[in-house]
Amino acid sequence: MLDIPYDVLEIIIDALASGLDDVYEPWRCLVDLKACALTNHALATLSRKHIFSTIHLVIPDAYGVEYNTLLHSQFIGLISDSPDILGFIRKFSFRADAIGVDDVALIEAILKLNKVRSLDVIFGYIRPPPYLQPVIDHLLQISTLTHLLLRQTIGFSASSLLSCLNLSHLTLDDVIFSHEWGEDILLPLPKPIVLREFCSNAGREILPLIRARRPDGHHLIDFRALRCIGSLQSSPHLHFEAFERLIGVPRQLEEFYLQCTSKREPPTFTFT
Amino acid sequence: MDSRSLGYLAELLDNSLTTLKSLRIETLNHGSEGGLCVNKLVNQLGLISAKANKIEYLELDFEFTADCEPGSWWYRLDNMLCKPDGWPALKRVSIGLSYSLRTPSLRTLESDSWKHLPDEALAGISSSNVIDLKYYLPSLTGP
Repeated sequence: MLDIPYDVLEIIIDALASGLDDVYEPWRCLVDLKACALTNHALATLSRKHIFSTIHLVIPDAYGVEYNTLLHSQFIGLISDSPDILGFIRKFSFRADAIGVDDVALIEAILKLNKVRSLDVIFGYIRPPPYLQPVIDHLLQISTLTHLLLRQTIGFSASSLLSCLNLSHLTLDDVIFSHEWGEDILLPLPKPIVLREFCSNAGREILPLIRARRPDGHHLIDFRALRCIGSLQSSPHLHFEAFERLIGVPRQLEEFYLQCTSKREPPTFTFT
Repeated sequence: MDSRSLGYLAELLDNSLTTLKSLRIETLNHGSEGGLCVNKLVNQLGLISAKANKIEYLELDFEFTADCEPGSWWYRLDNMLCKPDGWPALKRVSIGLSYSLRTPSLRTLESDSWKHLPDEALAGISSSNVIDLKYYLPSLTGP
């Protein structure tokens, strides 16, 4: 194997790692990559960038977690022992409501992330606490960030999105925005966010974003280049109106995904 | 989006039908509501097919609990998708089915009936030389 040129090995490992995109069984690929990483130094180097490309921070006893999960303490230890891993992390998710004001080491570790492309934050129906705002601001301003999933939050400041310079995919799951603009906004403002894909599960998320304008009068988000619109789950009222308004904006909409469900509870069955 | 809004799908997409290439609809319904919802969907697809459209890829995912008996809407769906000039750009249809049932015996029974679905109720798409049908058997997720 040592006779195989390094760039050929890289192609092989990259091809193997394409299995990480498997929606249902990415862990199968992960097992293979970990086996490769134990083979020799060259393969370890090539495999690590894939093994650590996705990190989900979880709390103990988390239910239904995905692959590549790490406890807070494991993540802190990993970053401390192998800081080079920071450059490998492309997808990152965490629960904001699981991070306390005393979790200084964890906050510092997250603040070191600098190559994240896809960010998934679950707030657990809380307003982002002040001590986490620097973390949120840091992650959103990472220049490589293109995919953002915000979940279960109230009072999320839409102005935080201003720093997402290269955001192209935005998914909102139960998000209520606040449109208070901070006093510390730096001028001149960056270019508006130009989305390619937008998914939402509620009309209450869509209309405020369509209407939101920056302090300079421009729209916060430019929806005209949208290629894909998705509706994730059920939501009563106003939803049709909001989607009708949104769908009228893109010039070249190519994909539409709709998930619809009845609000009725499942009936009780009796078998005789 | 709730199932009531499904009745406005054609109206919703009216201005985008000439650019839209991919349409994916997933219904998560319970009992008789599932049948109503699918009927509504077939009606809306019929309205879309009556207008100029460039849809190439149509994916329909149905999930039910219990009410799994194949009904006439399967044939309506098949006829509607195979209507001449209705879908001039259509290349592929994916149909996904999943449902949950409470007893293993019913699970087997229903599973067997679903296996014949493409050949019997979706005969038009199955035999089409233009449309590629991708069909998923139900995943048995019942308790």
